[in-house]
Amino acid sequence: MNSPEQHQLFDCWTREHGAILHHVAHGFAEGDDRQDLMQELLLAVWKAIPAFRHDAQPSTFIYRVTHNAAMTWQRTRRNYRRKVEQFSALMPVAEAGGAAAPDAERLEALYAAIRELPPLDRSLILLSLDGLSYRGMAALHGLSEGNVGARLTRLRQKLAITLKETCHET
Amino acid sequence: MKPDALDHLWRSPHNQPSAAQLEQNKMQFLTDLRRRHRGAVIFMIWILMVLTFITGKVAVQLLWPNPAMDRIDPAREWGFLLLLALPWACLFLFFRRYRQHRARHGDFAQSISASLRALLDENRIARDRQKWVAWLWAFMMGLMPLIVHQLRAAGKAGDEILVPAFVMLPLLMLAVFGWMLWRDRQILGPRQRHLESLLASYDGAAPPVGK
Repeated sequence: MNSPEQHQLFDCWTREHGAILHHVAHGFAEGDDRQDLMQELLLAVWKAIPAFRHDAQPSTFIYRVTHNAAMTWQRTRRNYRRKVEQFSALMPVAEAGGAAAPDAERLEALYAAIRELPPLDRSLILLSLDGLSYRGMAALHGLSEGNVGARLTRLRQKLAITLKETCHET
Repeated sequence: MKPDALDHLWRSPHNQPSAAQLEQNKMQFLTDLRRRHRGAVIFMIWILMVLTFITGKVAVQLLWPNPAMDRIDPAREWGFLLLLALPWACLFLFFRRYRQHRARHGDFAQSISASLRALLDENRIARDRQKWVAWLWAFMMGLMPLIVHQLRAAGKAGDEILVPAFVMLPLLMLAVFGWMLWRDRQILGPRQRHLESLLASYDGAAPPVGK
């Protein structure tokens, strides 16, 4: 694949499937780490583009690449400091101020509960919330559909209890 | 929170990235990518250029000796030729190992667990490669007295070679060893443990690496 085509696909995917990157970055990292992870996700997508076969769904491909990158992502102190400096200069000021909407608060609580889960469970619950089928998730992770179903039932219950406790506390 | 409410919350506009934020991330990424790419290309070109230049010069001198220059006599200076051949042999072995890894994990794109197994294998190869490089350096250092002796006996070097061979080179070797040890302890080792624990979370039934 030549570079202009790679650029074109990258542009198109980040525009159309930006929500996947956003969900994964929030589900696997918090605070300034999110920017670090977001860069890793973009890098993973960019590197993976030449391996994309056009008969597959781009969204399935992006799910596999981003979830794989997020699960293996480990923050390095040097990267962390450098990227925090870069992004604190870039982030819009409007995000820091103002009262957060109830939805935003509940979302933050949901993401915090997701981040408490082990990486594989985190990935499964994010995929499930994005509406992927058990079959899709099983194929993506190399698990059986039964295994995915059993894990997700347990995970959703666990998540509901955690969120209930959080809502009572606040 | 009920499942419906959870899904409703998930689809709310607050859970969508703003176009401006995405654009900013993308621009930052592209700047970073260009920098990384440039750095990697320059490094590879530099290493290959130096190695090819020295090897080429020696090969030309061996095949078509220039009477105006000192002739290389393989019988008397084989130590130096061996020193030159070692990095090429290592490069060949690394490349062969890489090809084997690619063949073993041809299905790495099939699922995330397959990718994790490929990554774990890649990490192990990187750790092995560091060990080989360490042995290569140690062997080169062991060879150094012989090379110095041969070059001095052939009249191609005098006392001026002693400091670079027995002070500067060992210092450089120590620095390289230190860097490799740090990388193994701080990056490759923790990464291997992380990948192993991830694979264990796939029911503990993940097939072993390379199978």
